[in-house]
Parts: sequence; structure tokens; C-alpha cells
Amino acid sequence: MSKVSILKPSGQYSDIPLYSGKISAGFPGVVDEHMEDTLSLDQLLIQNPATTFFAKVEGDSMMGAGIFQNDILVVDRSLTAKDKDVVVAMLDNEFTVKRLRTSGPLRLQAENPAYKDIPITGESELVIWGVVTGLARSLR
Amino acid sequence: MSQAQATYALCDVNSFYVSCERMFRPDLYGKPVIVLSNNDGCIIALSDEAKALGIPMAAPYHEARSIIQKHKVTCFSSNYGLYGDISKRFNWILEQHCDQVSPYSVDESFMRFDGFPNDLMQRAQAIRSELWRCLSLPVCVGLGPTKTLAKVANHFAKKHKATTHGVVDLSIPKIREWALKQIAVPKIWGIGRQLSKKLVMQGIHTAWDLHNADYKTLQRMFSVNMERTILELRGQPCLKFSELPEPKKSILNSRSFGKPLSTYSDLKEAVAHHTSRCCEKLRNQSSLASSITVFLYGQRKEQVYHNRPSVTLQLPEPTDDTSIFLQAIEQGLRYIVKTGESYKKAGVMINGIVDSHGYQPDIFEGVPQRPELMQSLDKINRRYGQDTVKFGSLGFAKNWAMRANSCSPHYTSRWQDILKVS
Repeated sequence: MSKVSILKPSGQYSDIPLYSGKISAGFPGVVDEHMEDTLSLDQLLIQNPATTFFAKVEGDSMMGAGIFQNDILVVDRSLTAKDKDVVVAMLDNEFTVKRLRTSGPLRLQAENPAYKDIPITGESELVIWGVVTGLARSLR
Repeated sequence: MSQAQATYALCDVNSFYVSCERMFRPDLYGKPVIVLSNNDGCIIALSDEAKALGIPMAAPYHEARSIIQKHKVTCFSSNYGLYGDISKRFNWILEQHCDQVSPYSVDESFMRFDGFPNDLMQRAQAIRSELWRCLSLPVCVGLGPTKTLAKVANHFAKKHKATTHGVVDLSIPKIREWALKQIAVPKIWGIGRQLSKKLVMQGIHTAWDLHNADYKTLQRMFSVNMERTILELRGQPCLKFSELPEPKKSILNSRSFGKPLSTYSDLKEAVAHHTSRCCEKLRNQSSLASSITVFLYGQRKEQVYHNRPSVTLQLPEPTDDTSIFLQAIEQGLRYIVKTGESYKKAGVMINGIVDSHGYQPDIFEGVPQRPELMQSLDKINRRYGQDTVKFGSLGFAKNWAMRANSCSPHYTSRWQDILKVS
């Protein structure tokens, strides 16, 4: 069995701040000093709030990268895409999520053997809309 | 640091509503796009391609329908939730470039750079390219030693996008003279149509004429605001950073209904909504008002509104308290609504506006003022969206809510509407 350490998430019903210090009876001031902010998934997943948007995955072309149907992608538009980044791109008037490959011929790569690489040639216009920086999924 | 040693920048998004729509629809670049007002009544934003087809701004949709259909122009109902979200992001990005940012409207913000940084043209270009890359917003930047000149500079940057690369600096006297000579007086910030008629009678036709006029004479003829505008045109800052040229003398809010309304309660709800919007605007500009007019438009017969009842109510004292205005409009509305009639449009206008700072309330006659309540109301609604907290008489039915037949998805505010990628 894998070891998990449990952190208390922030949420509507459990907005209790974590504190890193031990509670020492008789010295309540010490507790206050060690009070910290609640953990927030936004803080974990979003580096640049001004330029971050969410998108929903349709289809299974990125299964191999652990990205499944209905997953919520965290997309940052301020980043410059580099080789091997998962990107949201505009291709032939449709939004698609694929892995960008710039070493070798420029192409978009699916992470599913059922899908072929999409070569970016002079004819097809590629617009990188944003770089996928995170993923959110509900399990039930 | 004295106020004189600063450069002001006005950053303005071109065709803002269209640009917001295109961010999620890149297929629409290079194609004509328009956005319609509340109720899909009028055209309120046009892409350059739509302008080139000769579609006029602010035209009623039905008048332009044949051109729109012929050229397959893409039409959107206004999606104010989306535009508000993008506007907020726009200002966040400006704040990364400048620590003094003051939003002027949904799509324009002033920035203030202290001293005379010599790389402002480059900085302005960096802001432009970042807004384009990260938010798909095309912007123009006007620079100048005063806010009024920054506004003029922005006008030129927009008009001559290709040659100026979207940035114009009017700090240089020669360029300033060239620009002001081409600006007609009604185009100057803070000079309305009424004032410009009077200025033209004085032989003042362009901003350059006004720049050269004797400000003391004009101050006596008009007001201290005229003097301030002249000095601002000369490069002498008179407006504080967050200050606008002049508070509004009257505030109006009205809207056509999606379908005709006839019951008192539906009409009251609509009018109360307009009243609370007006009161928010009133408080925003730190004013009080003592009179409110409620008006209704009946059904149109042969293109003409025959039935247009209205009533004006005088309050005992100037106030900015929404609840006092709401009590007044309830009385007024009962007076003008006729049973059996149906109405197409309603609105309110607030008049008798005075500055709230200089006002001395009459402590014996006075209406109780509740500034703290009003402040928290505005704060909550700004933070969480319009009408999060509201007065009971604003109602919850919204039978009069606007028609929005071709609204784009709420990409940034509803989970079921976010972008789909395959």
C-alpha cells in the first residue's frame, strides 16, 4: 500500500487553518503566531490568475498522458510553449489538446496509439492558445 | 514627487466586446463580427471588418439586418459576465506593469508613471504585446503629461494604428501641436456638445484653438472645469489621478422589456432595478440627488409611442440612499400605471445632483442617511456580482429580463460553459 499524507483541504465546510506549531497549553499567543492560510487548490494549480482559463476534455486522445474525457484542464495563456508541453491549440477552427513537438518536424502528438501525429506544414495554420499547467478531476 | 513630474498613459482595448468574443472563437479573426445591446436591440460593438461593410455603430439591429445577413456577419448578444471578467484580467495585467492603475471604463484604464521614464514607448509596446498574447486583446496606448493629453494621444494611436503601431506620445510639443490641430472641440474629453457650440461661437474650433485661448476669460464665461481642460491641454496636470473631468448632472437608466409587461408588480421590479443602478452610479461619483423621474413607454402604434407616462418625485432632502428612492418610485409608479395597459420599456432618471462632500444635512428635517449600509451594499455587489444583495422590492422574477438570443457561452463563470477541447 502506498503511503499518503493527508492535508486538510480548504472548502466550504472545513475552513480550518492549519497550524505548524504544537499547541502549548497556557501560551495561546504561540498558536496565533503559527497560524497559516488554508490550503487552496487554486493556489496550487494557478500561477497566473490573470491569464489562466479552464477547459474541458472531450475524447480520449491524451489517455497516455493521464488526461481523460471530462477532465478540467488548467490552461495558462501567458507561457511560451516549448517542446513536450501539453498545449491547447487551434487547428482547422477547432480547439484540441495535444503534446507539442518542436524537436524534429513540428507536430502535435496524441498520447493514444489510435491517433496519428498531426504534422504542422505550411498548409495548416497552428495557433497555440495556451499551455496546460494542471488538471482537475472529480472521482465521484 | 510633484504632480507635474509624471507621464499618464491611457490604455484602451479596440472593439472590446468583439475582442472578448474572439478570444474563445479564433475562427472569427478577419471576419465581420458585431455585438448587440441588451434586448438585442442595437449594435454596440463592431469589428473592423463589420465597420468596413458600412454597418453603423448604435444602429438598431433590424435596420442593418439585410447587410448582416448578406455578408454573413456573426452576431452576439451581449455577454456582460464575460466582458467583466476579461476587463478584470486586463487591469491585473496593467498592474503588473505599473503600480498606479485607475480603470476609467470597462475597456480603458489610466496608468501613471512617475518622473519621466525614457523607455515609455517600449514599455507601452510591451504592454500591447502581452495583452495580445495572453488575453487576445488588441490595445492602443496614448501617452502624455496630463490625462486629457493621454486621451487625445490614444485617439490618434487608434486612428493611425498601422503607422503608429498603436502607441502615440504627446509629450513632445511638436507632435502635440500637430495632433491638437486635428481635434475638433466636441471630441475633447470633458467638453460636451452643448459647450462646444458655445466655443465655436467664440471662434474656437479645434483643440489647438482652445489650447491657445485665454483661460481666465473662458473660466469666467464657462466654469473652472473649462480652465482645467485648457491647462491640461497645455500639459499642466489639473485632474487628480482617479478624478474624471466632471460628475454627471443627471443619471439615467432604462431598458426595453423582452416582452410587454402590464402588471404593477412586474413594472415595479423593473423600475426598482433601474433605480438601484442609478443610485450605485450616484454613490460612485460621491453625489446626492433630490429628484427622481420614472417613465414608461406604452405599446407602439404605427412606429410611434403614444402612451409615454412619466412622473417626477421631489425628495425632502438630497440623498444617495437606495431605499428612499425606492419608496418614492413606488408612489410614483402607482400614479402612472393604468390597469389594462401594457408597456414596452421603463426607466428612471435622477436629477438635482449635488456633491455629497459639501452638503450640510438639515438635522431636524433630515431624511435619515445610512452611508455605512450603502457602502457595504456596493462593496458586496462589486465583489460578488450585481444584485448579490438587494432590496426586497427589486423582486426575483425578472419577467422583464432582456432578450439574449445569441449569447456566447459563459466561458469564465459557469462550469458547464467552459471551453471544450478534443
